[in-house]
Amino acid sequence: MRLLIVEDEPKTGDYLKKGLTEHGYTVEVARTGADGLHLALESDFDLILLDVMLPGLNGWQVLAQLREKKETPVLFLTARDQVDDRVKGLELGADDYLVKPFAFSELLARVRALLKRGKPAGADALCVADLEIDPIRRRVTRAGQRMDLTAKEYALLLLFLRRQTEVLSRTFIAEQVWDMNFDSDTNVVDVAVRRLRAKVDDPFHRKLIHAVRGVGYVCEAR
Amino acid sequence: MADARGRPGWLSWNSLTARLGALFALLSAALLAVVGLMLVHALEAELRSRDIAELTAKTAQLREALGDFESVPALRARQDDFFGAVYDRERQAIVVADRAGRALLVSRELMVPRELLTGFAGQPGRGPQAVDWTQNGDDWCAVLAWGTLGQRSIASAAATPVVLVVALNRSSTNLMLDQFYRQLILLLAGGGLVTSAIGFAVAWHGLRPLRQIDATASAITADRLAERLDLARAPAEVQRLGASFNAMLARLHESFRRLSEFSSDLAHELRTPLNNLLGQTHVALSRPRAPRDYQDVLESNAEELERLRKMTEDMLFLAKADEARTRLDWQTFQLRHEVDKVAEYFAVVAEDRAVRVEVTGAAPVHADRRLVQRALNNLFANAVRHAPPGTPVRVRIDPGDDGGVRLAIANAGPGIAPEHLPRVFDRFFRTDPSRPDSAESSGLGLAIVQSIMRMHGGLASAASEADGLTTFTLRFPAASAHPR
Repeated sequence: MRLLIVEDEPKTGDYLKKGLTEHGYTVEVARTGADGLHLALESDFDLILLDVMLPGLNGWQVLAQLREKKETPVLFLTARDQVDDRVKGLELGADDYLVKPFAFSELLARVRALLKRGKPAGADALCVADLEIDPIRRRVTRAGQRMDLTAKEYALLLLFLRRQTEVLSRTFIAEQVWDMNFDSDTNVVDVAVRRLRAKVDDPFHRKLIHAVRGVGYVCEAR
Repeated sequence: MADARGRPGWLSWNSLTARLGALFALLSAALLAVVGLMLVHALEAELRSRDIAELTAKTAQLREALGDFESVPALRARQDDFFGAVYDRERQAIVVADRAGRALLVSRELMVPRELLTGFAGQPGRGPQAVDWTQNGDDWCAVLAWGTLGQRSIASAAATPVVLVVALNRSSTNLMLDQFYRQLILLLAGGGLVTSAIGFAVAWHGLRPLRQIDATASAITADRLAERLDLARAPAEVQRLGASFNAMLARLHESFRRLSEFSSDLAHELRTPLNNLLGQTHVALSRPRAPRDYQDVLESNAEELERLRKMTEDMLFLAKADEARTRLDWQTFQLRHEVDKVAEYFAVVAEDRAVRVEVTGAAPVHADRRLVQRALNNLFANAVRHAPPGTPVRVRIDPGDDGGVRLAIANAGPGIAPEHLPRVFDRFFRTDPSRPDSAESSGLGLAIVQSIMRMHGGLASAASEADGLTTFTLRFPAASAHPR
């Protein structure tokens, strides 16, 4: 998967490139709008991360000119959180919009969602190590043992298994499982994850759900 | 006239002093003029009626005298006898005319207007009549009467009716009246000037409290908001204005105080995580360490940065709410549905703390669903955090009688001290800054709740009984009362 980052702020560009490369993407960085547009038109990328405030050609102009020729998905990154900006970006043909400051895990989740777009998340069995979910019968087993989970615990585990190896932020988990679309002063996600782990991890030697301090949680067989 | 700040001065036509002064002058001049005119008129009427009375008396005397003369030639021959001693040759004139209005005898050069004379001569037997006319610049007034020649003679059959005219030159009287007029006009002009000066002075003096307000207001700057108007001796009208002005100053003062307090609170709130970040990073970099140690530092930094990010987001939300830049996505929905959803979200935490959440009542509200969810979220977080284990958190939804909706969320616990109640919705306000869980709360949650309610034209309030229930109430206005 090839990604293009158009970002003039050097540190932002660098850490985005580093983070995304480490997650298996091939990343190129352009520091100006003109360079970015040139690169985007010259070669085929799977996704473009486009900053709005760029010297010379700004993000909107790059997007407008790009859309005349190509349909490469574009994720806008901006420090301006205004409804009009958001609408303008989406009208010009941006596929998603992320406001700075954002958590890297959030960005990663959106990048993955955009790259997977159109490909349905399969209804086939999901598993990690000896933990299995049968989404059709809503059954969870570990090492052949049936797990008795509440509806929300099930939804949480399903999210973890669908997003295996991705570090999920608390905000993202709250949004996906409870449809709470904002930060709040609460540790609901921590408590919920702790209870889930008590059921699916505590009785077993091999742990599958891990806390990533300061970031969130990840599900993987280590 | 304008002062240095480009505002109209006290003597321009925009000024109350000038208007009041001018009005005062105008009114007094009008009053003087009316009284003066009435006086002159009365004087003139009085003088004329005296003149007429004099002429009438004279006419009566002359009519009497006419009887002594049997014919016109006899009258002519002894005219000085007829005119007699009472005749004032300077001012008076006497004419005797026949029935056709022709003059038979004239005491001096006087032309009684022909039409007056013939008009009267055409009405035999008519009583005395007073008439006025002007001749050669002189004003005349006369009494016309019928008389009879030779009434007392033995041959009374020879009695001849004649018209007797006794005229008086009133020019000197009119001259005097004219002089009186001129003096009156001078008096009016002078009086007008004096009263307008007095009017200006009175208005100037009466409006002094306004100038004091002006002076005080000019002296007020952001750092001198504690200034107040002294209203002890101000008149009633100005007292109300001054009181409103003082109240406005008090509100401004309070807002400024909160704003500056907020700025220093913000700096303080930022300082703690920044200090941690800087300190930890510097310590970590001061010597080579094992990867695990670096990871520890980075993880801790990530936590602090997450706090900063959240705080920035909340601050931005509040700033946008203050500037009314948030567009609300109005829709009508069951408040109960959102409460249940948020209650479900908090179910695990509540269970963890052995706190029950009980929801009663239902009502539809017209509001922005996500914002309401966010407000509920903050209130739930607050209630669940402070409710002691084993106690319930009770949520009640009531449709109000005014068409609005009331939501109350109550929890037991230590309560909020009365002196803290008015400030719980302030930004960064914490009843106990050293509370161990203060790291968990940004101190902006309740401020966000209040600003969300304000955006909806509603209000959030808090009540607390000593070691009893703490209740937060959200009031949604009736759908018809929405701000936009």
